[in-house]
Amino acid sequence: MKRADVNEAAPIIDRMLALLISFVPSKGPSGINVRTAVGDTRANARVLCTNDALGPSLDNCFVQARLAGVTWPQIEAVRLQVDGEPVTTLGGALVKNAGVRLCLATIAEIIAAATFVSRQDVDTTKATLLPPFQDAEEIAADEMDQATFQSLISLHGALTNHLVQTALPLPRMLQYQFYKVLPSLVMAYKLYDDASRCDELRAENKIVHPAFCPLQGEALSQ
Amino acid sequence: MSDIWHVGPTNNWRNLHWLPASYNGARFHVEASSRESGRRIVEHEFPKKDIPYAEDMGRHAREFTIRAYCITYQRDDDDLFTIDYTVPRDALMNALEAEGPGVLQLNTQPSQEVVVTRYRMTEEERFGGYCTFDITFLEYGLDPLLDPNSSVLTSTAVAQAAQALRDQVQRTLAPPDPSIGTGLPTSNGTTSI
Repeated sequence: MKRADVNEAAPIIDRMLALLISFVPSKGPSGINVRTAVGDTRANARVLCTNDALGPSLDNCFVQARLAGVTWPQIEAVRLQVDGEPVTTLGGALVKNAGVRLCLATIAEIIAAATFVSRQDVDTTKATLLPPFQDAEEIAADEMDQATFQSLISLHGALTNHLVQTALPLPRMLQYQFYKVLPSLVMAYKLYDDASRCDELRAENKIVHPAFCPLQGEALSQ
Repeated sequence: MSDIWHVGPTNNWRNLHWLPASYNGARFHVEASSRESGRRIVEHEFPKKDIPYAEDMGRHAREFTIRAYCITYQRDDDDLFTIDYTVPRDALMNALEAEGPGVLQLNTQPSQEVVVTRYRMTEEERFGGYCTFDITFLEYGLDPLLDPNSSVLTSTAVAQAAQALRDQVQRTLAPPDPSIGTGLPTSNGTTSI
């Protein structure tokens, strides 16, 4: 990269990784690899950009973040921030797009390993991920970057297929309404024939006090 | 003198092939069972032609129409042969009304995965301790959205596609191959232009 490109690209990397590292605990053994990888990349951002050697270390930051348990909405926040960066130089655009694509790849990997409770869960995820992928695909198409476009499309396809297949066997969320205020234990017994699922009801409906559940709510169909 | 029970050289079809009938584990006696299927044929007839064409559109879904019964027995032997005939009757009704497909085992046919579209349980005053079921089962088959041939787990496919995207990002960030424009083979084996 030329100096003008580096001047724009390095701060983008810095801001992106600063947000990424904010989702990891700042001390302690968990996330130690992320802190090392991110710190290293941020410190050497200018050198890495100048030498065109940014790829492996930036990729490693995202891999380590995923392994440290960063959730996909957090990565999506990083993607939104990177996507909003104004760029004027080629180098800036390159780094910005690379960041967005790495975010998408990481989100896909996190979702592939996630477990879903209900079909609504899966549908919401699918709907949330549609615009980011579409935007990235359009940018790649506009850049005439066929290889990236193809890999984005195939990732999007694989992810949608995975989500559809995952949703099929899952129970649906249904509305319920009781005639009076009941404890979650009784509700769980009436709904599922299984009082031990009361905590599930409580978590799903964000019930304040489990002895007095609201009349209406949502429960799984199975 | 021979009757249908004693025809044949070995006379052992009953011992070899006969299995107790059940649906999802709920047993019943079978009075009559019929199986219905065939090919879905569309017969094309053409004007001014003598010979038609029968187009085969696939196999008909199998349909099993069963007349089953539960009857009181002189002692409690197992879950079907009981003094109280309502026990197997209720178990069968529960099985028939349960959600989802079930396994139907008939006396002389291999087990099938089926669904119950309709059943009718009849009890008559003249026949105490006895009830009949007229049940229609339809073949369950396969969900067209589930791909039975996919050997790759979908999550693995996602992980592979994600890795491919990461590799591509790394390639875009890497310096261009020095062989580009020289016509020589690049480092990944393709010829550059």
